[in-house]
Amino acid sequence: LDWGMCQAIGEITPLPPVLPPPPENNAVRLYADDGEMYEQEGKIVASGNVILQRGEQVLKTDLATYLKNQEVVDAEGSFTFWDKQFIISGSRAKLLPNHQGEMQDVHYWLLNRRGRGQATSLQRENENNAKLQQTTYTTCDPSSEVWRLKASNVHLNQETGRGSANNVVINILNIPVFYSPYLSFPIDDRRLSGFLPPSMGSSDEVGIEFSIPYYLNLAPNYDATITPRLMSKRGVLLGTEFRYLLENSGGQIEWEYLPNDRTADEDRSLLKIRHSGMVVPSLYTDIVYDEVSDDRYFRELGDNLTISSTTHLEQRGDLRFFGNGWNVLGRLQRYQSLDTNPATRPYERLPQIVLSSDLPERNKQLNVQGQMELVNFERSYNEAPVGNRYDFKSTLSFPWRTASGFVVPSAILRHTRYDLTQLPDESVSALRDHPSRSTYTLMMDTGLFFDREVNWFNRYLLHTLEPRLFYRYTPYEYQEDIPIFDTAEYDLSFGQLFRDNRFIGADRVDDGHQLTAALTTRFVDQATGLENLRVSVGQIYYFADREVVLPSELWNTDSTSDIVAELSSQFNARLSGSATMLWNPNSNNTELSIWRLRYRPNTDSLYNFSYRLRENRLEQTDISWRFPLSSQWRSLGRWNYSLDARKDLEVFLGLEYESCCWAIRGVARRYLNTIEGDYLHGFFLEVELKGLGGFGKKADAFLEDNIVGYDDRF
Amino acid sequence: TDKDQPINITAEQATIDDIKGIAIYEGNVVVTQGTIRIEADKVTLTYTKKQTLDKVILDGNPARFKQRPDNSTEDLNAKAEKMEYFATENRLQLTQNAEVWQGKDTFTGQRITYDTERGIIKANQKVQVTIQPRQQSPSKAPAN
Amino acid sequence: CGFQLRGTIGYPMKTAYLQSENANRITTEVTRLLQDNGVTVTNKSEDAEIIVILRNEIIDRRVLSVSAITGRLEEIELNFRVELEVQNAKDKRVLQDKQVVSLLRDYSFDETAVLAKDTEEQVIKEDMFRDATAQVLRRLQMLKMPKSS
Repeated sequence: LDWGMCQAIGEITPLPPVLPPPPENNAVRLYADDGEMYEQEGKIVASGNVILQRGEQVLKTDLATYLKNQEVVDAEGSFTFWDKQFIISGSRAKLLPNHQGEMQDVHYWLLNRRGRGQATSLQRENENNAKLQQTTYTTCDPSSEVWRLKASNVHLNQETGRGSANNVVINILNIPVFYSPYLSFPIDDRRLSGFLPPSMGSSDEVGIEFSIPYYLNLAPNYDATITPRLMSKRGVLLGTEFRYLLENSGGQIEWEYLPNDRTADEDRSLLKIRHSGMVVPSLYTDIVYDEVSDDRYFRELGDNLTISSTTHLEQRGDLRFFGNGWNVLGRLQRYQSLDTNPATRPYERLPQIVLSSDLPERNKQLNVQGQMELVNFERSYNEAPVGNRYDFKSTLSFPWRTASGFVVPSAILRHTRYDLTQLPDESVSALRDHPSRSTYTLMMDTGLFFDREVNWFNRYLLHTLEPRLFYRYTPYEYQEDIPIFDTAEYDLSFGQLFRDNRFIGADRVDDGHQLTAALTTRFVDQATGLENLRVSVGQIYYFADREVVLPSELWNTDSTSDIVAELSSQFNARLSGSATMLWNPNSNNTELSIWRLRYRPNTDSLYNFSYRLRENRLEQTDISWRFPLSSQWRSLGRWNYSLDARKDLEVFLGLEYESCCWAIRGVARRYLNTIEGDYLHGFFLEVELKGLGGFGKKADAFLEDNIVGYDDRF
Repeated sequence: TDKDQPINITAEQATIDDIKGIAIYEGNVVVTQGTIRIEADKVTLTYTKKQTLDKVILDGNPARFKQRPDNSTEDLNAKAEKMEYFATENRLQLTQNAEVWQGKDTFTGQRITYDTERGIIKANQKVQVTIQPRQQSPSKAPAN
Repeated sequence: CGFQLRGTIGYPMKTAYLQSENANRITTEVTRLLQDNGVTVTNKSEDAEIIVILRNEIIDRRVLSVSAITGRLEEIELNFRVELEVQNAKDKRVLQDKQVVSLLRDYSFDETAVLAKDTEEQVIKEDMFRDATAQVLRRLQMLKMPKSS
């Protein structure tokens, strides 16, 4: 917790008297104007500027009686007591041996947490435990006491670092805003069970909502957060998140349950499981399981565009064994599709087994890599073929790499066969129950590296020129008898220019006979090695038409591919940008054009601009920012506008105010949610009472998703 | 109690003036009465008309006083450059860097008066008392 | 125009010690490629001239854009990040202060080919991993070694 904006602690606490060093072995030294020692009773009565000093404790009062034998100090008049961890002043104090004591009408200051307040009485049971009655507690400066906690009694335990209070009322600007019969709060920085920032907000789908998370620090290696979320239009949703860390694995389980949603009048729930780690040496597991009770769960209960646009939830379990130079993956995978046409829902891999070699490439020698995949495709949609696929693929290459260039001839041999059922009638479809396919691919990848030193704005840069040619030939193979299980065309990108197949997935091998020509140039700052600018341009020349296509697509007869251009630059630590362009020379048409700029002048300010055009798919601009208006005010926001639909996709504006003991963050949001294209509005408020735990909707996660680079841990 | 014990005084030189009722002893003067023992450079005793002891003035560098109070286990010591003992009031008054101590507890102040009969020490102006903790008797840890 | 064929891949140091702080995969790959190019990677920092520290290798996945018509997912953005710092082994002086190698790639989502797009994402991640490794190696080639005592 950062108290940078507060008055120095010394300015708001009573200053201790200047004293010579205390006597050793815990003796008590008393200073006073007048003192009387009653020798028989072993009683000393001191009056007038009385100061008692023992070790680091100092008591200052006007009238004190000290009983030597019982070691009891009784300060009748007003007193101030200084200790290492806190300061207390009041009207009457009685100090007993081993740190016990009672004090009346008390003002107290907790030094390490800047907490302070008043109490009608205080009892110290031992060095670490104190009980206060009719207490107030705040961490604000006296000059601006924005919030104050009142409680009938408070128990402060320095040992566990935990404070707990009963009949708690929290006042903000003297207005009671929160009551709880019991509240626990941290009095030092240890991870501690207690309330996390409760949140408040409103949106069209859920109405007024209020949620208050409670964090349970169950053990050093597992904890849980329980968040009841009250929604006026829906009811009460109980969210639980359980995190655990085992010896060499760990994970997280989230479960949300909304019994009897008032609007949808059904029970709704969400389950999210993540687990990964080592089962036994060299055997690893990775589990991702998301499930919701109904298709509209995210649309109605999610609170931003990112969540509500989710269409598929992955349910996957992997087991991977690593041998020496090979590994084998066993996978079960299916998806829960939300609101999608059953005909296009993905197949389920129940199971998929992949045995593959992962030998490092050895230069100037024959390298052999192999991969064998067996997968059983299942589907609940009964008009789709299901069954097993066996795919054997081996790659031979003879890389010849030197400092000035590389020549890499390689060949792929592949055999794929299927055992299928649930096929449409043969008269109507080309699909067969046992199709198989053998293909080979020949490739030659060559490139050269040219360097020179240039001087730009008197910075020494290494300017490189890297031409590259990539030839590929795969003969045509009839494949209409093979259904499509997990295959589609890659997005065209600079990386795609050098792939061995136009398709991802084993159901289609592209009959490519083509040559890729590409050029990359880099400007590298010699001092830092930072790549200030990289530009890559490339294009494929087709020597033959591509007759292997996905069902219902035409042959591809273009003689060349789009020209692909990619630019990425990191001018310096503050400014970076990138651009990607696909330009179709035949139709002189820009298929894809993406520009992005990020300016981060200092840790507090951040600006992102981006323009995205994907031909007949989307054309959008996306601007997000965060910058300080003053040392205490900060503005943040995002405007995502669709140029082709000429409407906003998501707009949100936020203001953050932070001062010594509290911070408030308000965000207003408007985002496109449903097919009808109407807008949803939301507002949420996060108030953090520093030292007492925050109070407001968890804005960070949302902001992190929406402002690239927004990171609360700046 | 010490008050009823006989007083005896030793000194290098003594001048006694019965008429005025004054006796002055000088040079390593030692006065003892019961458990009381006083050492000083100069002791001046004055007597009332009825020959009873009125006041004793002690000067020393410093003058020292020691007494074992009734039902107490430790001697009470005092020193100061000037002490005055008012017999009728059983009051011993110490001035000029006066210090009183019993066992390891010490008591200092500009002016300290000691009521020898009721065992009360009073001090004023810049009082400083140092009290040693009682022997660390094993604190009665709650039997758990 | 001044361009010549690149001579040798010159690394300014003979020995290096690599330290990974949850960046194991890229550290292993950089170690292998350094050794292939004649740099001895020691297993004790004392025996090496420089200490290369790679931290927090992470791939973030984020919804980049949503369709204005259907309000559904259109593009996914992948961001590969790793932190690189190089210290002089003798006096722990920083030769190259902390830099972040950050790569951004995005691909279009297709509801009708979820499995294929999942595989494409893995392929893109592998490409980013190789590109990041190359950038780390290039920065090590550019290192200014201290005047060896």
